[in-house]
Amino acid sequence: MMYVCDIMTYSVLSHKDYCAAMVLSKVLIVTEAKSNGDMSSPDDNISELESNSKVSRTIPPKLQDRLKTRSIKNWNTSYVVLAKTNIIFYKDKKASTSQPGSPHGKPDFIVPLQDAQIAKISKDSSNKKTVVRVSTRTGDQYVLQNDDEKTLLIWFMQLELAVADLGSSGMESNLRVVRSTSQEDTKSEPKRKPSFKLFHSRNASTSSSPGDDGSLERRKRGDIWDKLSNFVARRPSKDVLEQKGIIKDAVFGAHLKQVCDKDKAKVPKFVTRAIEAIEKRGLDHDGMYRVSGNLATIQKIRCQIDQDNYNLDSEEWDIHALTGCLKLFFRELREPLFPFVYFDKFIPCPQSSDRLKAMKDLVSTLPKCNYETMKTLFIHLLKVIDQSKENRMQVHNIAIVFGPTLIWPEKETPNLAANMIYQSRIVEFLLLEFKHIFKS
Amino acid sequence: METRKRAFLKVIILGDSGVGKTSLMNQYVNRRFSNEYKATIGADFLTRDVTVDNKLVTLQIWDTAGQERFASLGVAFYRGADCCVLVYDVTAPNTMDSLDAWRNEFLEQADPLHHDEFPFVVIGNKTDIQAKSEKNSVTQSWCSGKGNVSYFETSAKNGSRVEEAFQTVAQKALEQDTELTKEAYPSPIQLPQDNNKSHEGCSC
Repeated sequence: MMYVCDIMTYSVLSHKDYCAAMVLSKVLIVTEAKSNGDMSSPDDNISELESNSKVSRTIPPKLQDRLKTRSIKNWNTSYVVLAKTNIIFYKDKKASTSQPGSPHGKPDFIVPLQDAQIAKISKDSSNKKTVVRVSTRTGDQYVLQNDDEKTLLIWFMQLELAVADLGSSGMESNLRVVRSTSQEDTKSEPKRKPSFKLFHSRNASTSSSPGDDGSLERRKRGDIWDKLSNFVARRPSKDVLEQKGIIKDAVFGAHLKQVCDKDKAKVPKFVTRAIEAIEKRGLDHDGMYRVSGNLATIQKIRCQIDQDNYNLDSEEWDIHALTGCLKLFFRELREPLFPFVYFDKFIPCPQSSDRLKAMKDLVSTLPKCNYETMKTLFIHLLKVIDQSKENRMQVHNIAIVFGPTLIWPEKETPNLAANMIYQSRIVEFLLLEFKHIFKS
Repeated sequence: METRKRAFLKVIILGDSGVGKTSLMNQYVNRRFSNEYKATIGADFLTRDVTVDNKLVTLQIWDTAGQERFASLGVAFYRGADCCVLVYDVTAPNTMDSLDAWRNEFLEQADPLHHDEFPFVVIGNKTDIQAKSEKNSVTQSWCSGKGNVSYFETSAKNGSRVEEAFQTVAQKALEQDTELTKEAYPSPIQLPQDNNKSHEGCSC
């Protein structure tokens, strides 16, 4: 069995923005007759090499200075292993030796290859030698160099292969889709796109070099991506399907206004019918509205409603499926029962006595459908709360359950947890002060 | 690898609303049970130190809200979990049927390295009300069909088997954590044989 394990000299130029670990490498391809996958067996060649390679392990202290000059002065030697997902840098061969508890020895640092970009930069005025640049996903850059260009080429190809094998995290593939489907969409990933192209052109420039199966494979993959993204781009959009009548207006997942218009009512037919059906079965069920209904049953009811079948009295539906389905209706609305523009208005309502007036004013400005539907729902929920001795659903519990079901922001914000408390408090307040807030 | 810092293990509790997730966590961490019936908002966590294989580890146990709407919190809370506890109510058979959905939800959101090997512990709760789950055999076979899954029947009210269940959780979480540390340094890539010759001309 064979591995790439190399003694290398490298120099760290800077960190973060332009982190270039120059690797002046005395690369050695080590042959090891080990089958278990680690590289702990001693090798004569390595010890010989180690003595020759002047291992200096000082990471330069003044990184900033060197960032300015961008000149590479300090070279450090490292024992470098190309692993499946990382390039691992060791102080020396010994450090890479497997030990109990640390199968991969003591690495100095590790460069992740996931979504990394590998580029070969040929000799020019600033570089005396050809280098391979590894740009990581996080934007760090490492430049590898080698005395022997052939060995460097092998590294270059192996790195490309390793990155290609890892290409599943989506970053690279997404870029391909962006590139081939939408020319206008330059906004997405503006920073990474050019570097990807650079990477691509580098790849092409090496196509004349020996042993380029790696880039061939890449080109094949690219073809598949192009075909796939063309296919996706050709599919008709949802709007087109709706216009053609292939997708019909559904009750679930629509705007409240749409549903009301369709039903020619101020309260959606489903809300009225569901509340009727639930009240018919009694409101004394333990934990009603809190206990989850069977998800499959809830979806069945939903399908039936979307096909305009409003029979909700069937034995098939138990109470928790019905309550679950009513909650689902509100959750699936394109816009919550408390419209998005109201989200920020309801939240800062003052705690004092002014609060009642502020809430009342706010509620009175709600669109007609929202106002009437909210009123109908709250009248029902107050009946549920009335029986809290039997069902244990006090106003507080109902509010926790319905808070995030009726109110959510248009865009998720970082203060998610705080919002949740407010969502419940608003519902609790409206339920407690129902008589004062909603005109009879 | 000797005594490094103490292992810190993250555990997520999932399950339908009202099956007793909060009560289980409270029983395990505070050894208390409250009769109060109160839905959880968002998520909350408690920690408890526990000894596994002579190692002291800290369990950070995340209790989540069973309410459907809160499920969207998933990504933020599930990330970095070392073990996932799926709870159902032995007196409410349909909560057992949801285990699949919760498991899938977790795997999708947390996206651990190896979906099939990620450790789960299934807990059938409320044995104080009903001694044995009707779905005992169904649950058993569900668990054995999913790979790395253990099954316990507990009562958060009287504390029956809660300690054992969480000991297994800690054990599995620690194994998972150790496994992940190994994954950070996978085995090297192999090179074709003839590259060996290339270093003959090397001037070192």
